[in-house]
Amino acid sequence: MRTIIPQHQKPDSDIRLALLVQGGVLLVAAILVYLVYGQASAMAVASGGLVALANSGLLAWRMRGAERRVDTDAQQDLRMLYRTGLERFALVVFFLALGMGVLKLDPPVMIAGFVLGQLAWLVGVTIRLGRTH
Amino acid sequence: MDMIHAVLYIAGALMMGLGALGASIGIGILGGRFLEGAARQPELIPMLRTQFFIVMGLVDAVPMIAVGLAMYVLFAVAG
Repeated sequence: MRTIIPQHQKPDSDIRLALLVQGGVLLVAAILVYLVYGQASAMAVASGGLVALANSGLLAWRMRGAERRVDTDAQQDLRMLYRTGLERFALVVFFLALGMGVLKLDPPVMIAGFVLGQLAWLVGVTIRLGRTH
Repeated sequence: MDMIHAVLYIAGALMMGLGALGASIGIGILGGRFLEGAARQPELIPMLRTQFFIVMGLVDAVPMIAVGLAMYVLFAVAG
């Protein structure tokens, strides 16, 4: 079923706030770690944070793509959601394994950066949901 | 393989498995509610779709952290 959605009913797709919060928190964390613990730890924190940022960026990209469609096929949305979930899982596993296994970054510090990035994403999304309702 | 390594592998597997279980229950409920809402009011699908993606980001953020910690335990501590 295809329907044309009037402009005033188009959903607000601005999830940039959450991404900005995440990016800002990670930048500050990487700078602080660089000043206190040095370059190697800062690289590990930044890498972990970038994995979290890529994870949420993929979700935002898929969300934007879904919003561009004008059809109202809920089944297709559901398929897209499950596919996005799998893609994000694979992305996180691949990049964490790459950082810890191949690039030999300090695993606890990299995980700390990743966890910080995920928590910043949670906070950003919660702020956005608060603004929506 | 000694006992400590075996327990570490079990811990990592439990972290990943329980995280996946929680995420799958959450996303299953989310998808079910989305279909329910879409069937009830198809004209709201664009709005529901946005909320659907955002809440999915919330639902699987914490299991992703569990995956990260599990990978640390499996590859850095045990491996």
